[in-house]
Amino acid sequence: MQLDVNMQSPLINVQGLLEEAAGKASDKFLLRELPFRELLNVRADLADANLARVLGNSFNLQFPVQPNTVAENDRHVIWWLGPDEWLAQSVAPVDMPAPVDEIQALLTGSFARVLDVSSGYTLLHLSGSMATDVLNKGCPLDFDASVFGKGQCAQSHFFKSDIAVRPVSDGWHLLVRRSFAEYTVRMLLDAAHDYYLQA
Amino acid sequence: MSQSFRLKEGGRIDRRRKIRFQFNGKSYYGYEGDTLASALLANGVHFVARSWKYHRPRGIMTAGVEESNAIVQLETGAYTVPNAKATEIPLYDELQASSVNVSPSLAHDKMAVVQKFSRFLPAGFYYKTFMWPQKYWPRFEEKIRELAGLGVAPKARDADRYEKQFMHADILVVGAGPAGLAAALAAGKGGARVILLDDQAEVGGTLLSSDETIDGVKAVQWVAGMMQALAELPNVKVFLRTTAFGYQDHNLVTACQRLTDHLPLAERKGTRERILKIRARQVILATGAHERPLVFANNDLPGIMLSGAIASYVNRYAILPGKSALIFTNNDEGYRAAIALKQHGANVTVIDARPVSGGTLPQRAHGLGVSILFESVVVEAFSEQFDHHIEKVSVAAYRKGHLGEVVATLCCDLLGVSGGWNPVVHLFAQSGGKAVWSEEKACFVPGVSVQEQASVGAAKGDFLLAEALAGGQEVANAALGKLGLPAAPPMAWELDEYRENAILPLWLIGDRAQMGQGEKQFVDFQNDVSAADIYLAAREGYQSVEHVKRYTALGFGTDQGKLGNINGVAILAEALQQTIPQTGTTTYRPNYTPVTFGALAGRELGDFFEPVRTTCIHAWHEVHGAVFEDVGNWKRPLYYALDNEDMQAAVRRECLAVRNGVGILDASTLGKIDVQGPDAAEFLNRMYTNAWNKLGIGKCRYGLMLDENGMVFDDGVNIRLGENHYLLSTTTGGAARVMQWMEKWLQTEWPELKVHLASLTDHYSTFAVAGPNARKVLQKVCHDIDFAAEQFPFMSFREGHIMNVPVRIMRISFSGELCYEVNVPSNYGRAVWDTLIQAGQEFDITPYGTEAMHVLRAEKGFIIVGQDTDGSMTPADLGMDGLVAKTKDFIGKRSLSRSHTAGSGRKQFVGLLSEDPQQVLPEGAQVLREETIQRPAPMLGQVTSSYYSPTLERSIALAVIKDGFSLMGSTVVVWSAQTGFIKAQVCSPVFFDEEGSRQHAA
Repeated sequence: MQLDVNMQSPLINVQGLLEEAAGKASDKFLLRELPFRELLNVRADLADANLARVLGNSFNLQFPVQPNTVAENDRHVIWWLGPDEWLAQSVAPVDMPAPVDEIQALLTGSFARVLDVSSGYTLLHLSGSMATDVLNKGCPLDFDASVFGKGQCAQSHFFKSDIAVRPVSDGWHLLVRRSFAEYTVRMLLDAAHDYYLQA
Repeated sequence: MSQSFRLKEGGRIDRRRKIRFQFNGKSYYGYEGDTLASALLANGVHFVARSWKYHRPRGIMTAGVEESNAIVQLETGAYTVPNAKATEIPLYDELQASSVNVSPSLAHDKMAVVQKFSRFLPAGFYYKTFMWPQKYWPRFEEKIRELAGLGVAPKARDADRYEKQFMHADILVVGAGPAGLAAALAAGKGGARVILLDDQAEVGGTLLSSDETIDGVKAVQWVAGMMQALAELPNVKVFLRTTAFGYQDHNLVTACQRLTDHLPLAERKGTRERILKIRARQVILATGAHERPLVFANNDLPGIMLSGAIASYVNRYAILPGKSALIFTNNDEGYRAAIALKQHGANVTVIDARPVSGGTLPQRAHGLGVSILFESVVVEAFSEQFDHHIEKVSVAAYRKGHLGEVVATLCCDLLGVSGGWNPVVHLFAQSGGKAVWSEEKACFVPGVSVQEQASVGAAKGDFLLAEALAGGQEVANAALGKLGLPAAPPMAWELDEYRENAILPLWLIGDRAQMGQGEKQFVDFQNDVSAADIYLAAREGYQSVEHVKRYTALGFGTDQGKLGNINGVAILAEALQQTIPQTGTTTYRPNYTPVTFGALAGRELGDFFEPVRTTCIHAWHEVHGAVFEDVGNWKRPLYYALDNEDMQAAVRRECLAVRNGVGILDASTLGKIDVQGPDAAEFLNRMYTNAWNKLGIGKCRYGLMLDENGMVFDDGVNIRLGENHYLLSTTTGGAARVMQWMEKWLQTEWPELKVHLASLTDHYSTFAVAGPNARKVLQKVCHDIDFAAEQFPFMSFREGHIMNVPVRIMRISFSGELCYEVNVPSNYGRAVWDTLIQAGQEFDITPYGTEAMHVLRAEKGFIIVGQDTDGSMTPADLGMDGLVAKTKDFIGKRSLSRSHTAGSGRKQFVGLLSEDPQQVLPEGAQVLREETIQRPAPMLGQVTSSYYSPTLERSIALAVIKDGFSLMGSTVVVWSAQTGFIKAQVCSPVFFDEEGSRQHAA
């Protein structure tokens, strides 16, 4: 459905900061928002083959059962968040998330549910040669490609903000809660302070 | 200009870069590569400090981190560093430093007179003094505080920027001396991810001060080759000027990287220090060893230095610290200094406590013409100089452990001492390991590791270069093996032949029968602890080394006993007539060296101290004059200041607008929890006091939540969205806590319940449109909901659209007015808010803040959990017994029947009306039955909420008062320091619209 409405992402108040930073040392560190993705929180026990099939068909993608992995196609990325919890993220931005009633109807009778949380998070894209260093200023995970590679994801924190993070071809995607997004951006840009200085 | 003690050639300094600096107000010159200490010595300056207690003149004793005398106040103002070690400060242009603990100056220190009374000021003298007269103690304390301490704490805010960084490694190597370099290179070649740390500006460790050859080239050249090889390995990272100061659990090593301290102040940019938090799968400790001083009378005079430090100043810094030198040693290593001095033109005599040594170094020294006195010891050092610079020593015979008569007095201007070496086991000990005594090497060495680590080289007690180079590869290969990586190809370097004779342990030179008489024999230089003090402690019954430490202050200072502790342990052992292993050491505590507070704080300061959370309407609030308050991490408008209003005027205007027209409040910060599943109702029944099965779909109900003690914990209005689907709300501050609480019960106590929870606090934004005109505003913007009273009753909700945005509108009220709370996904929040504001213009819609919200709900007697409750109020205490279901069980129910919880005399929730209607009772003020002068006064309760009510044109207050319900109508007294006693009447907490008819407005 077309929306005649101005949407505002969680980073509405720091667009200027992001633009200004993008103009400096972007080969070292570049931070961009990928707003307005459809985000659906799915709870289900996928030991139930039927359920797995129904959900897989709804997204045209098998849900990942291996902990801390993702499944992706050109329309969705499905993040494993727990033994019975996933986040289905659309690759492209949407004006309005599809109503969950349709999928939910297919789940009737099972102990499973799909919930729209699209406005509750935003997605950040980090790139540049120092992107991992910047992340390690506030996140204790080991981001080395030998231990954290394509197809994996993890939940952690960046300073005091909860995040989910996964590698992409040129850097990292970070899922961050709406009300912590501005703080996360400010801390990320601050972590790149010395690289911007040398610029 | 002079640097008259600088050698013309050699050293690691750069003579092309001359640096001017100031010490104690006087200008000097040094070179790039100097430390402050080496530059002072190059200028012939030895007297740089006075000791803490006795104010004795002191000089530079070491060339490194173990320095306990030469500490200075570095710079002033925002860049000042108190108690910086001159031996560690890299020299930079216009560096300024001054001595600490002296007044008015180093040379003319007022407290120097204390030296005359030092006999009466042994360790612990303050336990026996300053007792009488007792009333003078505050004056004594003031004076003692002035005298205690060394450097001066900064008064200006730290001007620098600090950071922290998490890092990971397969193998972390701490120390880049020969052992560390060998280990790091082997580990790197084995394909591991390697991090190598060293506290110096270049790798090499002791090799930087050495004149040995390795593989046919000078040691420093070999070091350069190793550094090059490391730089070529992409899997090896080297961090210089980085000190590992802590070893935590699970192989987490914390280190401080210094990025700008070596630069002139004006050139410093960016981060000054970075704390590295390194998690390593394997750790190799190649931290080296510290030389021990020897303990004899007046062993603290300026001009007495560790022999290894002398070798360092000669070879690495190209300085001749003295021209007429003595070296007093009990081991072969001490001869290195003798050789270095002799090679550069000094007269040198060695005083060796051992019978004879045919080791490589003594032989070489002898060959160079150094005189050696075997079986001899220095008994006392002397000086008649103003600055106590050493002039001569008395030497006695020493045979088979017996001290003989003084046989000679030797003149000197420099005395090097070497009592042996202490492996730097600090990080090993912090990691949980116990150091063990090695009788053969006369030192403590690392015992069994309790974490994945190994010690190597001098840090392990393997003092020979060959051992370091072989050992480094051995531990690296062992570490590689544990990681499943292949061993590195072996590396071998040719070394000069080296033979060494054994050390002769020598802990204290002096007549034991004369302890405490005669000149002091210092053990801990910084805290002026002498051998006699240790004997005193033992005599007074302090047996444990931990007690002796605290009684004497041995090991207390900024140096943490790096020079003195082991000598102290050995002396104590002798005094207690037990062995050194029986005596043990004190606990090695983090941090290995002091760490700047700023570095530990990192970036989480000021605006970054805590996350600042804002709603999707924040920018609008700012532009419209909002004054914000903090609610947890959230910023919420407290009130909106229009046209220079003060808060009182604004709140008044906002309240009246809500009561008489229409207001709008951003309530987005409240917690929202989605609950779905076949057991959802059962779950709610267990979590809340009231029952949920009969709540119809489309309806809302207020829920009260108790903790296990039956105390009110949170509250909120919950709605039923479907057969097995509810949406709960919580207080703003309680959102995360309630979510945790619910998940805890579900996952650990009731895993059989089929319930799924999710937080929607951020996903939905909520706007309360409240007031008699609220319906009209909504009708203008939402066309697919029928807002007529019968179609949309109070405590129900409807779903529809504003513009094309799906919204859920709940007819609930916290103000007591007709009210609709519009819930919308936050990405569309601002658009919907703007639409509501626009539609409300014709009704003069008034944005209102949390203060007005508080006043309005108080007028209606509604509690705020966390304000009117404090975790000790039950539903009955709050007059909410009606919300407690009789037939079902819920968390906290059984506690409600505890004798104390169900007993009398409990604080109960009531209203208070002050006798003077214009006087607002202070929030938090105590409530008493009557005015009294009793101290303490018997307290009945306290005022929990208090406001001036614009609706009633008088003050109102809510309070919790013991047996308050039975005091209805009585007069009580409220007291605060600002107001004194105020009379008030106990009344119902509902001050306005008692029937609650306004929220039902048609």
